[in-house]
Amino acid sequence: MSRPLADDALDDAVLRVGAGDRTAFDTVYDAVVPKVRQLVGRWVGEGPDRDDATQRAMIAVFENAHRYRPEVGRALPWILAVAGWEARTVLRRRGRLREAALPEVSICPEPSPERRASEHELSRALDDVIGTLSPADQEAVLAALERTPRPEVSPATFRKRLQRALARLQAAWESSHG
Amino acid sequence: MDELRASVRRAYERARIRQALPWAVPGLLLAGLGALANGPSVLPVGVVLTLSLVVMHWLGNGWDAGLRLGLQLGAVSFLALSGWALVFGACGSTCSSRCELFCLAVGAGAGASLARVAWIGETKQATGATWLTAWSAGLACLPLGWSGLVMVLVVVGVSSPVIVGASLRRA
Repeated sequence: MSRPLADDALDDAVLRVGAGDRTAFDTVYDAVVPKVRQLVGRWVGEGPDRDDATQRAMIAVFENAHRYRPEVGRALPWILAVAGWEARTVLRRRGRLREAALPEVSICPEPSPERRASEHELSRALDDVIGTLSPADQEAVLAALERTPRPEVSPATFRKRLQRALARLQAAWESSHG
Repeated sequence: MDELRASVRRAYERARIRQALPWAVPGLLLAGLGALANGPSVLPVGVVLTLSLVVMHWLGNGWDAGLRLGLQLGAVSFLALSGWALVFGACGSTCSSRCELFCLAVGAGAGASLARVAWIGETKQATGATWLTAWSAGLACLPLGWSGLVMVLVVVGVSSPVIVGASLRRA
């Protein structure tokens, strides 16, 4: 049965589980399993795959609870990242992971109109800055964003081009937006 | 859902054991050194020490906080006493009083350090470290006979009342 937990309480419970406090096990389990199941379900769909991926994800979360560090961030995103990774592993093993972009998954409610507007502004600003880059840099960045096909070069060459392009993108962003 | 919870719990405990196993290495090292210095009769003491290290880390929840301190104090006690035996020869009836005094001094020093840790509130850490210190020092002390036992008892004796008192104070 899920019990809603405040972020701080969940962070504390995960830390305690990682340190060996067994009394916190059920607290973390009950708070987290519905969210993990929902996230995993979006990746792998319904059916036995979802149960399998949920089990793998929950096991991975608790096996690695000792690695959680609150200074890095909140426990829930960390847990969902672990769960997402396990879901991808299940997909990959079943040969269903395609080259196309993976679905965006979010367990948050629909964004507000204000949030949507600011995201739109941000996206436009990013497009403007990308437009100031050289053609080669634009090609690398847009391919990384999966808006255009990847150029016909080796993965190592593409990685180097992307690294340089991202550095120039960051510099361009900082000079135009502070 | 219960089956899922049970399997996750089992995986969690297995992971904790896997994380605890490397702590057997310092225990085995000390046991090996103890056997080299004092003969195989100390091996049961080494086994208890090694198992204690692994179990305390597996338990976690504050019990693992005493691992480093216990090993440090225990290793110092073991090396000091083994060094003493090396320099002055194995203690026989002619030097038993010196051995006892030396064991008392080392034990009292270790016990006082642990008592201080217990006094500032870390009772689980102090209890775990006392246990480990006693068994580590026992690797060198027990072959010395009664003086060895005296040392172990002093370590426990000096720190235990403080540990108990600190626990009662916080209860």
